Amino acid sequence: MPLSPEQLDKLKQLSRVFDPLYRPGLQGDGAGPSYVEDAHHDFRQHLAASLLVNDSAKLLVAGQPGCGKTTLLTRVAESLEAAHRIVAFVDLEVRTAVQDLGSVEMHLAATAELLAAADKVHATLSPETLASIQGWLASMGSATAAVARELAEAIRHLLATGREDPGLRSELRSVIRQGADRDPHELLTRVLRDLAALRPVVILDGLDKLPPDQAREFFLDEKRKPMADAPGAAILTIPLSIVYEPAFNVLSERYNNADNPVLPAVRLYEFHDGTRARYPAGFKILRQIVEARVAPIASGLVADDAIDRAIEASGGNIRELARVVQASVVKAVVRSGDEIERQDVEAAIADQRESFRRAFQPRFLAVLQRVRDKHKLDNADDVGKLLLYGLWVIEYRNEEAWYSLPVAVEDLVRRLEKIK
Amino acid sequence: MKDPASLVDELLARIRLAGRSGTLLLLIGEDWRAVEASRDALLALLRSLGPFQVEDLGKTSPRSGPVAWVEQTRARPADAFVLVVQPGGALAARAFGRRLNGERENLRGLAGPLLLFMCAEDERVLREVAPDFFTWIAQGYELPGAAELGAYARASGAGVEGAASSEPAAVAPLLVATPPIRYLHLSDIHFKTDATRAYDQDKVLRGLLTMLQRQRERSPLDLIFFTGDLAQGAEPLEYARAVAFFGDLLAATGVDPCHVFVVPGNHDVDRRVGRWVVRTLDSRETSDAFFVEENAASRAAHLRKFEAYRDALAPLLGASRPLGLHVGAEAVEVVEVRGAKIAVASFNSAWFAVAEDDIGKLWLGEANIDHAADRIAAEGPIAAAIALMHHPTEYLAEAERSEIERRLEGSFDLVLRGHLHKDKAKSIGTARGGYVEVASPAAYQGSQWPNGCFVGELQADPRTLRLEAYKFGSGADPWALDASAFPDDAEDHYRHTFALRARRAGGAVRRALGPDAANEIMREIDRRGRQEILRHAPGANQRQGTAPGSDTGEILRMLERRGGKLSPELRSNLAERLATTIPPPPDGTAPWGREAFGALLGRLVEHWSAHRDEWLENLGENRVTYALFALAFFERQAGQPVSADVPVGSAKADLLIGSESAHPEERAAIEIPASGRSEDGALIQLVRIMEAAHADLGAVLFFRPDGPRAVHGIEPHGPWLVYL
Repeated sequence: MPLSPEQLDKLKQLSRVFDPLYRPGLQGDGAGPSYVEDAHHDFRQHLAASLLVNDSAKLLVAGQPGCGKTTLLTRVAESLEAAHRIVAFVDLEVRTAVQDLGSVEMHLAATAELLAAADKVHATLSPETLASIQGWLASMGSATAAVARELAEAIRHLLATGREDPGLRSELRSVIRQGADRDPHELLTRVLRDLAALRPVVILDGLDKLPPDQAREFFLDEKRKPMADAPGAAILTIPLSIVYEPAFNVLSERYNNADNPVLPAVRLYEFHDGTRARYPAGFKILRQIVEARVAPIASGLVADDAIDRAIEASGGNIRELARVVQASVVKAVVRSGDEIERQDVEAAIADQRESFRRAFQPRFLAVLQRVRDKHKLDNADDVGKLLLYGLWVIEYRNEEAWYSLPVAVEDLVRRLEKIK
Repeated sequence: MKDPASLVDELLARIRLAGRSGTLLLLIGEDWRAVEASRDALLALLRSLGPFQVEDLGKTSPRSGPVAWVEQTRARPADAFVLVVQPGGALAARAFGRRLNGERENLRGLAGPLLLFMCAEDERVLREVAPDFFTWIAQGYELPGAAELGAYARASGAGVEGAASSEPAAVAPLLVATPPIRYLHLSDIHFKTDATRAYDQDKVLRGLLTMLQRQRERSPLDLIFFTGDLAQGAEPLEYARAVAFFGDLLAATGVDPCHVFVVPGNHDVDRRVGRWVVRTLDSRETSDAFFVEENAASRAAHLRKFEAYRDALAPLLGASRPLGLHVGAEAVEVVEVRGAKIAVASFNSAWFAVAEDDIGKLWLGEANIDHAADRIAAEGPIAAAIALMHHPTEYLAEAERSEIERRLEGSFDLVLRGHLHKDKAKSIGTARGGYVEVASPAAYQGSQWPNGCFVGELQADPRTLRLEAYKFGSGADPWALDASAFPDDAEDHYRHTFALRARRAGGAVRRALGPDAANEIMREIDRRGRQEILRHAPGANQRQGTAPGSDTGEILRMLERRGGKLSPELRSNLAERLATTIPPPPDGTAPWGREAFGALLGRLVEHWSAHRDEWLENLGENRVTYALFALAFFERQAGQPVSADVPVGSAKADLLIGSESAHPEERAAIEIPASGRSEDGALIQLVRIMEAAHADLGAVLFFRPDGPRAVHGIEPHGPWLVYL
């Protein structure tokens, strides 16, 4: 029987909120219910504790694509604001051409967001600081203004122009060579010092989108590490690839959590003595995430055992979980089903396995077998990075880091072994 | 792989569910032909079976990415969009992948489902470079064949015109570009026999072979050029190693030995033999005698210096091959690559190379180049004419240097050289034509020093050369694209494209008229060409008295060669020429005559002499010319002294020549007097003059739309900026 328009409408909504492109909150439907605090409880506790005791904490966050870095940072920002701290949340992808990011743009973007945040809480900045920002903007031939909010806008406008214009970016970067007082790092420092009583925190999201070679240059080659010398606290997202660079340990001197910056997948299994066992708490957290997105549309639209199987297939990666659920919705529509059943998830997993099969390279097999059998991965190796980024292998942590294969990959490995 | 029915059902379900909200789907074909054929068939099916409007967005260019895709979907409302992603080669795919990753957040702005079509190999490479991007894709599907889709269309009664056959109707033809002719340019390996060096050399060169082997499948090489200094001391044992390497190179690349071209360098000269033959030539007349093909006896003694070189390479590459040891027409070989004729002239610039004091003592021979050019012209239409030599033309004897350059400009598209162990690529354009000169770095000079090479792609229409530089680094995969060679070409993934200029038919004229009359005519064309350029420069109406045949560029070149040590006559002559070339201020009232210019030039030359090292050797002649023009121009505009000794980046630096990011010795800053600065449009006028009178700068100039506050120029070495 064909689906009624009402049934179809519900499935459309379901498909939309589980699309990998969907970001809760961005589409104006509120971020709250689709994220569960417990998802990254331990990691978040670490961040919170560092920020609580150290007003100059410099923290890093890396993780597999889709593991929830941005969502986590949004929540951290909210709780800091609730504690009356001043927070500049800088989405570098929105403000700058992040694939060609220079430190000048990064400092300017942070300054703009801090000015805007200061304006929001009516914090005052010293006349000298305002004058130095005005002077700087005027020297760039940019429009300037009297108050913090308008200065923030003027900087954002300059950055927006630079985003589209490599020539302007190059001009912006050339100011550093004209002396330290022309460097926007100086402006940012002044603003942060003025706001010191409000214990400022700059959150730089999007640095994880730097291309690997540029990220290496930015974090490992440059003498001045991003935000390390600025007053106040900062959290920076970084690409996972950097964590596995041999020179990564040099960052531990400048960032407080460089020994443990990886936000792992939500743990589905416990790892003890070389074996893994199902970890119900992890399943519960992810179930809450799915139900939080389903409930506003229609509770029960996705069957219990279907959710359970989808979580298993996701390996604990939140974006992957969304993808599996969405693929299951498609399967349901194709068979004219009005709710998502376990069979739909199984069909989606079969497709997922075929996607992995298409991207499979023979050099992966031995590494995947080692992950399955020993739960270990040689991350520094190119294949290791490729498998981590491609979500062939999921990284977990309970005390130590360990690895596991998602269902579809495990299935593929088994089939390949049979063929062999 | 899904059967066509399942795939179509799923795609229709996804389009329906998306309801014009953004989602990203991937459709993968085995290879490009399969992608094209299946895409057309599938698009027709979707349009026919669903009540949906499906927009075809054609093919994405390597320079566009998610930002552009989003704009396209917003500009043309539809239920779904189809886009073909074809980055064009593994290297391009890597750079394209970085763009995908960097811009992926923008995908949230898609105005509906976007179906991306790509081939399996591109998917593999892109997954490696842009894994994050792939986590944003809702689902990937393998494409069934066009014939299967056609059969499904018939069975389902879709009535898709053309889909029923295995050759579905093209919805929008996809242009598949003819593969460019791809070559490798190596130079200066300096094979030695000592074991320590051999190990290190092996490490570097093995890495190179591995890279070439890896590229072979996607981007096979057609030609290989080696521009000299194969050995260190021209010893047979060194050549044995060289031959072994070339054997491996041929195996790794699959290039036919006939498509490998080698010329000797100064280290391929057996100096023990060299000490008994004449050091150099003394005139153009003796050069003509030496370099005429028929006069082999005159070269016999010098040929003995290259015996070890020839004996090693001839068995591998072909006994009758020139290997740079023939002259004139015999130095030229014409090979065909996919129907395109490529002429390669292998010139030996090391005939008279003996020791470290070779500069100014080497000869290429005007007759040598003329006869080679005639041979190339006689071949009829050719895709590209390439000259190989080891040394830069600065090493040639003063008596022939400018004539040789003139001949190269008229007859060759590309001049490949080595010797200085430093990469350099520039386009030289004059009224006579022009060529792209590419100096390869040393392919091996020790793993602790830069080791590199160039890979070029010649495209027939439009005639272009795209260069990519590689350098040896570290790690398991040490040879990688050298982004520092063309730092401003990030848009094209750090590859630089040179337009190849039209060649003049010098050979045809020469054949018709005989060499003497032809030379006279070519000189006349040359002179008129220059006059024509000067006539179009601003202020030309003020220069009615310009003496024919003597222009500023020529004088400046003479000046540069002399490094600032000018005779009073030359200085006076130069002053006169500059006075007639540089326009007076707009009102024409400034008292600016020969005397004032003479004084200015005196100061310039003085400054130049004091800073010769920075100005001449590091700035390069083009930038020196620029700087001189700029100084003279602004002094004339302002009637006040101009300073060239200001720090870059200071408020005093009004005019910057070279890029700000360049090494201090590779740039110059000039302070312009206040009154010169206030002249509206003075800068633009200056740039136009420089552009017109010095087309050989190879600079691309453009003006920012928001006024003359900043002017940017791009040249292969990097951008230069001029700002007021």
